[in-house]
Amino acid sequence: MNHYHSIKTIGLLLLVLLSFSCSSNLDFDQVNDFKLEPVFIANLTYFEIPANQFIENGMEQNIAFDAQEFDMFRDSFFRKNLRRADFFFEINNTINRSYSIDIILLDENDQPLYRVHFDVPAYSGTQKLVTRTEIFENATLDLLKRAKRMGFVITMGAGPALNANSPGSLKLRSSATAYLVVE
Amino acid sequence: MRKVFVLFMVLVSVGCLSQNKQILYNFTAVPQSLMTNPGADVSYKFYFGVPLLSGISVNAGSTSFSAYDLFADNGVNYNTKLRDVVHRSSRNDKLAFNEQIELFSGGFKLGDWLENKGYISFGMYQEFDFMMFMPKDIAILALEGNRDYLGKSFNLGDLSLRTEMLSVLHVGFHKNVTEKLILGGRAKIYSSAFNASSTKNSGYVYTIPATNTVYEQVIYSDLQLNTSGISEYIAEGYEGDAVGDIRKKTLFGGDLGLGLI
Repeated sequence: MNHYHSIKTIGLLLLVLLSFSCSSNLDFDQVNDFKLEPVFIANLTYFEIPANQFIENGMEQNIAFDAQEFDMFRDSFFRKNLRRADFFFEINNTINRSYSIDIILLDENDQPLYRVHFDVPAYSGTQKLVTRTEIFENATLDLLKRAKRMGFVITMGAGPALNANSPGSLKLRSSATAYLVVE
Repeated sequence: MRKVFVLFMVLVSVGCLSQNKQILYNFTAVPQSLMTNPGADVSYKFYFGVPLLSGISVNAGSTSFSAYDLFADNGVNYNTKLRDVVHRSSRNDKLAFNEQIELFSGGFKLGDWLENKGYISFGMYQEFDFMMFMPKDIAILALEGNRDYLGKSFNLGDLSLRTEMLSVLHVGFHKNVTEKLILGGRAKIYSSAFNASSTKNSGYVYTIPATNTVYEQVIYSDLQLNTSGISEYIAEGYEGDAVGDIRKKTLFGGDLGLGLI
């Protein structure tokens, strides 16, 4: 009798044990809230101009212009999902002359869309970094998306004459931070 | 002693592999149990399945997260949950999806009521399989970008997947040899609609602060996707009817199969 009882109890316990289950409410519609917000960083542009390159045939060149392709937005996925872009610029001048630098975003017809202006003081023995962060959002972002080329205009200010052996250089480095929203 | 043994048997579990649903094993009241054991003692005079409805099976699984982790109705933002799931996973975690639909099936007893001439069963099913290792680093890169991960090397080798769609036409026969012995066999023709695999990938992406430029950024990637049966659909400019084509291939094309062209 006792033996029978213990079997029954074990059986009952097993039955109870195997009957337990849990469930929770799931809401699969949450997939519609899916939203990716990745933030990517990359180099934007870089140049270093040694002082002696401002001399051509013994004459100072006070203005220099260059433009490069700017094809960041050729990719339609990127163009469509970009919500904000930060461009960070850092200019390090070690030449004993002041400069003004304009970075101009140009559209496909080379018409200027956006201009970033820097006044770079002459080097006087201590490093003076000129930094700037340009934030492109909403209207300015639309301008940025139309940009096809990036132009640089470097104008040298008055000061002591440079020669082929003048020390120092004008250095610019920059990076881009892209904020995407993918829904 | 015997009772201890019985108790032990209740608690023991053994892993097995099968091409079909293990739940069907020896469940001879369901004729599909013939799919796991061609010698199963199915003895209906005849049977047939309702096309497309008689056998539907879908199975999705993951070793690192559950549906609850992603879809719990607990007020936590879905994207937060998604991020947690990705961060908690490892590159050895697997995601799998399998789907099987019986296109048709049937069977009949040979000979008269009391004769023992054997049993024929036949049918066709379509199957889709997908297996992927959790591409953790790539998922983090897509979810959050590289800004907060300066110095981290994202491993592109995390991408490893295999997927396939196929259909199987099968014919089986079984017969009671003696009162206690049934012999059966099944022949199958496999036809693949498509197959894709991307394994043995390698590569990395990293960004570190640099001296001359702002960052030093390296992308090295050696990725490969092998496909069969779908190259024409993923090629640029494809304007055909992919669904129709895959259906044709599933039904063995024009030569071997049902002649749907």
